[in-house]
Amino acid sequence: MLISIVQALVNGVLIGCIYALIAIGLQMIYGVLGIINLAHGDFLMLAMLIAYSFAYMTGMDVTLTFLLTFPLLFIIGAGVYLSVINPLIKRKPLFQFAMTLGLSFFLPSIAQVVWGTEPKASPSTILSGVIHMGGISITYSYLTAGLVGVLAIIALYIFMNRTYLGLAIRAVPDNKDAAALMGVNIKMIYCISFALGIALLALPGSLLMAFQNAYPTIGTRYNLLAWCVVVLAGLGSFSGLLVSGLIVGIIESLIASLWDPRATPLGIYLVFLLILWLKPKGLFGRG
Amino acid sequence: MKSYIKRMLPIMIGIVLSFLVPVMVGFDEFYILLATTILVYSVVASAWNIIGGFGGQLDLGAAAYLGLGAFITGNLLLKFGITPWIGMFIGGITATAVAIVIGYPTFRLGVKGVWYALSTISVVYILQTLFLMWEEVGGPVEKWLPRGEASLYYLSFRTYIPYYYIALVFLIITLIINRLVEHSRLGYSLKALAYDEDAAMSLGINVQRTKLKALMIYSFIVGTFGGFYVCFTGFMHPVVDFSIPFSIEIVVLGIVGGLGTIYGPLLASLILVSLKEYLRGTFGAIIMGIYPAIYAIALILIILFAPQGLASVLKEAFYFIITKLRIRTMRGG
Amino acid sequence: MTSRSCLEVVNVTKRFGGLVALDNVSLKVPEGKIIGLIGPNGAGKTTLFNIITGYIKPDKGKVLFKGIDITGKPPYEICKLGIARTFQIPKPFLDLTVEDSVIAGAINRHGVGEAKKKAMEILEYLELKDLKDKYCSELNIVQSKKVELARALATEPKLLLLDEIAAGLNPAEIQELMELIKRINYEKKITIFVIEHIMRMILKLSEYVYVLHYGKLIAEGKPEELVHNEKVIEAYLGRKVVISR
Repeated sequence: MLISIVQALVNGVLIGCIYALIAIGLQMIYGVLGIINLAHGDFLMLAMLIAYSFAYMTGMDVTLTFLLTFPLLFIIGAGVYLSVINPLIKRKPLFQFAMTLGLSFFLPSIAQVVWGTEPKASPSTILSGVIHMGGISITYSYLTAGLVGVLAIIALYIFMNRTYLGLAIRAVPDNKDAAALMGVNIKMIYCISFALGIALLALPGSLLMAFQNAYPTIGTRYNLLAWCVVVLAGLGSFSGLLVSGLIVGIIESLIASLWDPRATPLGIYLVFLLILWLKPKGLFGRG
Repeated sequence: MKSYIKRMLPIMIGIVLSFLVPVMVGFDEFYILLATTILVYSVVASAWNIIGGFGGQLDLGAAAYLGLGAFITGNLLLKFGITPWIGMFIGGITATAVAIVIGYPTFRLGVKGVWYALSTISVVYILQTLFLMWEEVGGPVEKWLPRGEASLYYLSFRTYIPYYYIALVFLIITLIINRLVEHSRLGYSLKALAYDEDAAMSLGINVQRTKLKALMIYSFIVGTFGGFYVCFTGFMHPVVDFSIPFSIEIVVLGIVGGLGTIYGPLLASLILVSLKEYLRGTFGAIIMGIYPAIYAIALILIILFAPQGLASVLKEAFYFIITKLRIRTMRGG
Repeated sequence: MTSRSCLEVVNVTKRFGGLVALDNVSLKVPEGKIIGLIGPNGAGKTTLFNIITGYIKPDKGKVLFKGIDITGKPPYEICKLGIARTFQIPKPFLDLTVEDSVIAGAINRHGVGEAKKKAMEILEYLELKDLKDKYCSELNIVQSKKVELARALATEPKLLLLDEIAAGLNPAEIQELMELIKRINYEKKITIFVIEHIMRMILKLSEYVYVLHYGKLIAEGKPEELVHNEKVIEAYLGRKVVISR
């Protein structure tokens, strides 16, 4: 019993890091552009399927495909921003929200056209092994996912606080006019932030492919899950994502191991509702 | 009086035409099924209009109420042989009760805008999960309703024609309710708070209670309609009845149609769902995913290029044609 | 200040974090009068209005309206008791027509049919009838302000709070608005409480004026007395705020 709880905690922590990674891009898109993107999970689905295709075509290990997926997703993100988001940027937030809903219809169907509906599994990877430690087993893929998750968040933190581009991105939502006066090109910052927000899905996408199947409708689940992590952390908080990702991961794996794997959405979304109701600014939110 | 007739005329024509649809398609089952599907979207989108269109609340919970109505009606019929007509009513009441349980704290705590949207869609997820786990009444395998003799009492027919007419009656009632709400205290209060809650409060409008009233009307209509829906589809399945894409589609249709008008969501469902079903019929079997992709592109294009919604585009197009015709007849004459 | 008071603010204190927005403020608005509240930006004027109308709860103190304690009541109840307000930054219902906006103000006391009549009366009274079918998004600033006034009047208030209603208007428009406010006060017997930082307007308009500075009442009196009050002059001129324009 104790062992299974510890095992569930370990799994939860590691999967939680992936959730945090997924949520980073969403946080960035909301934080900079103020867009409630309800298609983030569908972009993740795209990341997973692209990772699969790269692994399949190049024979590369799927966990490393993010090196190829990242630039491709960046281009896709920029393309989506310039074609359908930018024209709406001065309109009511409702329309941007509606557009992401439209995208949540479009992306899965276009994925169906390209990849078909069959679940895709990547060939075995370097991460297929398992470590055993006193009754607890940790798969390499989970472990890597956890480590990469933490590293990526630290890297992003440094990027946002130490580089010109990061600082410019941070300055824009605080004061659009001042940022514009200082010579920051708002449209470019928006475009880069959106594209980066999508491209950052390359990491969790290829990591997830190491131990999960991907299919066009898998994104639906992550569309809301990612929001759950972001809202729990609080809008604007990047470091908080790690904690909230872990919380969501742990809740999920505890429910799965102690009660019923099918019940995991129940726990997550009840917590989500309570947070929305009682602490809408999240655990680490600004203001 | 003359203007009244002028206004009522298109409505009367619409009603007569819609009653003649089965005749016009030559009683072809395929087209009647299609028309009924369009009506399903129209009813739910028009009900959504009360809270979403007038009240500006982005409610993504339509499938929660539809599913509740469907499962309650279906199970009452399956387990106790209770007629769907009663089941429907109980479904509607239950949906309203759930809506109050969710809506009261949500509105009380001032959850607004997209946060409201996110909380309503998580309710759909929660209910879907509950019914997937609760195998007594739901479960991952679909439960079929008995299809015996044709019977109005059990809402079970061999052809789609009766379903079409029942759905049509639902639509007409929903539109009448829309109309009544629009010209009532509730309607004015909703439209005011949709734009600015603080200003609405300064005019003596109890924002929480107004939203809750709208939510109750909407959830009752959709819950009741869920009881019809389950008889129309003939089976219950948590993923089908508590469908997240359906919930989202309703909101998109509402926005694309044009917020704050009765005919916006109606027109959007009539036109876009017809388009979708037409595309499904044409491309569905050839390339997987191509028809929803085209449908999604249509939605995206409307959001991009018709900010006031499909309704106003059609209105402008209509006036454009009228003026062109006038000029032509004048030239001709 | 002998006549019966319509509104009474008693020892109201409000803090935002470390900042004291209102410090033990007490004042009275007698029935039937036009009373002013002036002070430089950030003096706490709007905070006081928000407390009176129920948008903010005070940390300490009471608000009495016709002798009834209304502290902490929600805004819509306070409106029903008979206090209406306009907002410093107008909050028009952009998607609604002018007529519908005003009807939205009248429905809390009347059925829809009656409310429509009432709305028409008010639109006529404020000479806005020509605009009735326009959308609020199509209005210019003067029109927006008047529609907001019409909306507030439609709730049939006994006390009307006007929050910097002259801001952004030119002198001619201000003059016109002042006449209108006086007319409303005189003809409709509505007590009026005005916030302004344009001194000249408020001095001409009101019979009695309170001066708020950094959350404290520093002076009160008839307009002609206040012009010579040193504290007032310091509060305004010391901060280089123009008295008249």
